[in-house]
Amino acid sequence: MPNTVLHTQGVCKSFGDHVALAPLDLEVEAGRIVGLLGPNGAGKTTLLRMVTGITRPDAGELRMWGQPHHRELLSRMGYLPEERGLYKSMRVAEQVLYFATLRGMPRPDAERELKAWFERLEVEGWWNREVADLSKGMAQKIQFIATVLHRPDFLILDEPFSGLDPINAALVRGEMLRLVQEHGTTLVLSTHDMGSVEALCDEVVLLHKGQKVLAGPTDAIREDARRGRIRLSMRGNLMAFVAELGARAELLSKTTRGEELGGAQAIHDLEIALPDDWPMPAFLAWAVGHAEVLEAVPLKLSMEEVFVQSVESVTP
Amino acid sequence: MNQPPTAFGIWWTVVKREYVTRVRRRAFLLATLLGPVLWVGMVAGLVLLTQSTEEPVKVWIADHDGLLTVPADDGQLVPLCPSCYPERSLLTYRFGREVKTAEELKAEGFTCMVELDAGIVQSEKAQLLHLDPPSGRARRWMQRDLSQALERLKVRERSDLNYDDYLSLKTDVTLVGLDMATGEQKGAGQGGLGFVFSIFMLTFVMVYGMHVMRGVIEEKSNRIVEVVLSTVRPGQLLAGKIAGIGLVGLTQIVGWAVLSWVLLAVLGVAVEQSAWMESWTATQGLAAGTADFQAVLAAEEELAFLLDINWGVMLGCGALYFVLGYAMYAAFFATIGAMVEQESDAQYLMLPVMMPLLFSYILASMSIDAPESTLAVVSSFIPFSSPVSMMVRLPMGVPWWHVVLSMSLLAATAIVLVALAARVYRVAILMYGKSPTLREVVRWMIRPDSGAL
Repeated sequence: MPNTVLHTQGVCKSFGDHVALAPLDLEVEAGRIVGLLGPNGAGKTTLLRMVTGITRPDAGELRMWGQPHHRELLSRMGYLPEERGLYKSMRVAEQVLYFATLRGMPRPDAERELKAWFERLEVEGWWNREVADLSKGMAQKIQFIATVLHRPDFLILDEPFSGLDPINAALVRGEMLRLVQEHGTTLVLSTHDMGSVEALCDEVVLLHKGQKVLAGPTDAIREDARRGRIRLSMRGNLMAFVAELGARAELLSKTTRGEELGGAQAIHDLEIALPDDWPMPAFLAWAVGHAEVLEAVPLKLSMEEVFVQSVESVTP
Repeated sequence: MNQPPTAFGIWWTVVKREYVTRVRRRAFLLATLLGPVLWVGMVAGLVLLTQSTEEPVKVWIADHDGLLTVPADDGQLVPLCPSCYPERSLLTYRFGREVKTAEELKAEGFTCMVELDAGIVQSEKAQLLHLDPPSGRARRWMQRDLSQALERLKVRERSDLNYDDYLSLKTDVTLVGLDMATGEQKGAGQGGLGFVFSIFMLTFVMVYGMHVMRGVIEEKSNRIVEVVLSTVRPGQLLAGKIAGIGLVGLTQIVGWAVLSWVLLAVLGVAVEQSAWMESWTATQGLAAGTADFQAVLAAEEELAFLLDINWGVMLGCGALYFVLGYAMYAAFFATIGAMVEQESDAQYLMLPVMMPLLFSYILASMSIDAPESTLAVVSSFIPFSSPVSMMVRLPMGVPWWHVVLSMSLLAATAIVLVALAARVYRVAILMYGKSPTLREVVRWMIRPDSGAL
C-alpha cells in the first residue's frame, strides 16, 4: 500500500470510563481530500490528536506513509486545529516563522515561502503587524499560512473556513485545491459546513459517538443513500402512466404545473423509487414509450441530508 | 523536504521564543535600566545630600558663668580648651557671656545659640536655641565637643589626675565578632544585608514563577497550545518555557549587576573629581588628595556595607539559588496555569504555593539577628525555603558544604517537581470547560497516561 498516507486498524481511545473513539479502521490515500464528519463529541478531535501525535491510541495500529507512527513524521504534517490561536505578543511573520522552525524548515527557505504566501492570500504588508491588531478573519488566514508554510505532505484542517467571509473562504478553498492538485498534498477536512464537503471532498468518513457510521466516496454515498430514485418531468396521460408504473415501482410524490394550459399541456413532476431489478436505463426506455418525457434526473441526497439520516439511524 | 528537527532543536526554539518575546518588551527594558539607576541614585543621594547640602552651623555659646571660657589679652573670650572644638567647615563656635536675641544672632550670622551656666556640671543639660534647626550630625558634634570640654573641666578640678591620664583611663568596649573556623570578621550589618538579598530572591522567584504561570495560561486560553503540541512534546514545551523565562530572570540579574557596577564606578569618579570631594576631605581632617570614593562610602554608616560584601560569592550563589529555586516554584506555577483557563481562576490555587515562600521570608527576617540558630540553619537546607534562607546566612560566612548540600537538595527537588508538573501539564493543558479536581491531578502524577507520541 505505497500510496496510503494514513492507515489505522483498531485504533481506539478512552478517557476514564468514556469511550471517545471505538476501534477504528481507516485508510486515506495520497492526494485525496477526505472529509471527516460527525456531530460534536463524535471523536473527530480525539482521532486527529492521535494522528498529530498529541496523544497516543490506547490500542490498535496507526501507520503513516506505511511506517508505524513516530515523531519525526510530524514535520511532514500540517495541523490546523479547531481550537486555535496566535501569540499576542509576537509579530505576524515572526510567529509563522516560529512554527516553520519548529517543523525543521530552514529560516531563509521559510522566509521566501512566507513572502509567496503573503502574496497569494493577499496579506502583503502584514509582515510586521502585531497579532493583537488582527481581525478574526485576518488571524484565520495567518493560521492557515502557519499550517501550510513548511510544505506538508499531509494536511489536517479542522473548520478551516470558520470566521472567513465568503470571498476569503473562496481564496483559502482555492489554495487548498491548488496544494492538492499541484503538490499532491493529502488533505483531511473536518467541518460542519456540508457545502464545502460536497464541493471539495473526494471521500467522507462519518463518525458518531466514537463509531464510524459511514465511509466512502462522496458521490457514491450521496447516490447510495437514494439508490434508484429519480425525478421525472412528463406530459401525457398521467392516470394511465401511474397505473402501469404502480405495478412495478413506488411513486413517492407527484405535482402538476401548467394545468391552466389544458390537460394535455400540463407538466407532471414525479419522484419515483425504482426496485433493484429495474435499472434506470430500462426504466427510461419504458417511460419514453408511455409518455412524453421532458427531463429525468437521478436523485442524490445532499451531504446535509446524508449526515442527518446517518446520525438519526444510529441514535435511537 | 525539511529535515525533521532534533528534540534539542525544538526545545531550543521554544526557549528562544520565550526569551526573545519577553526581553524586548518595554517593561523589561525599563525595569532592567531603572533598577540600578534608582539604587545607585539612592547611594549618590545618601552621599551627597547628607554631606554637601548641609548648611554650615555657626553657634554662639552664651557662657553666663565663664565656665568654659577665659578672657584673652584683647578682652575677647576664648575657650579654656581650644582643642575641644576642632576646626570644621560645617561647624564654628564663638563664645561670650551674654545671651543674644534672635535679631542679634541673625545680624551676626549665627544659626543657633547654646545657653549654659554652672548648673550644667550637675545636670549635664544645656539649652540649644536655634533659628534653623542644625542637622543631627552638627548636633552630635556639638554634644561631643561640649562633653569633652566639661570632662576636661571636671578632671582639672581634681588635683590627683591630669587630663591625659584621664583619657588613658577612659574606656569604650567594642565587640568584634570573629568566626573561629574561618577567621572572618562578622559585623551585625551583614545580617541586614543578607536580608536585603533574600527579599530580592523572594521577589525574583515569585515574579518569574508567575511569568511561567501567565505564559501557560496564555497558551491555553489563546488555544494556541494544540497547534504547538502537534510538533512539540508537552514536556519540551514546559521545559522550554521554564528555561526561557529563567534566562530572562538571569539576564535581569546580570544586567542589574553590570549596570550597577558601571554606574557606581562613574559615580565614584564623578565624586572624586568634584569640588565637593576637597571640602569633604578637609572636613574629615585628611590631607588633600588622599581620600577616594571608597573612603566616602566607608565613612557613611548606611553605605559602609557596600565595601564589606563579597560580591562575587553573593551574586554567584544568588544566581544559582535563583535558577534552582525558580525552577522548583515554576513547576508549581506551571501546574496551576495548566489547570485554569484564566488568570483570575488561579488566585486561590496560588495561596498554597506562596505559603512556603512567605514562611521562609518570615524565617529570614527572624534570622537576621541569629543567623546560626537551628531554625535558620535547618531552613537553609529545606528546598522550599533554602533560596531565601541561605541568602541571609551567606554574607556571614557559611561552611562550603552547607551551600553544596543545600543546593544539591534544591536541585534534586526541582528536577522531581518539574517532572511531576509535566505529567499534570500535558493532560490539563488540553482540557477545556472544566478544571481538573485535585484527585485527578494526583492520579496523573502517580499513574501518568500514555502521553504524547
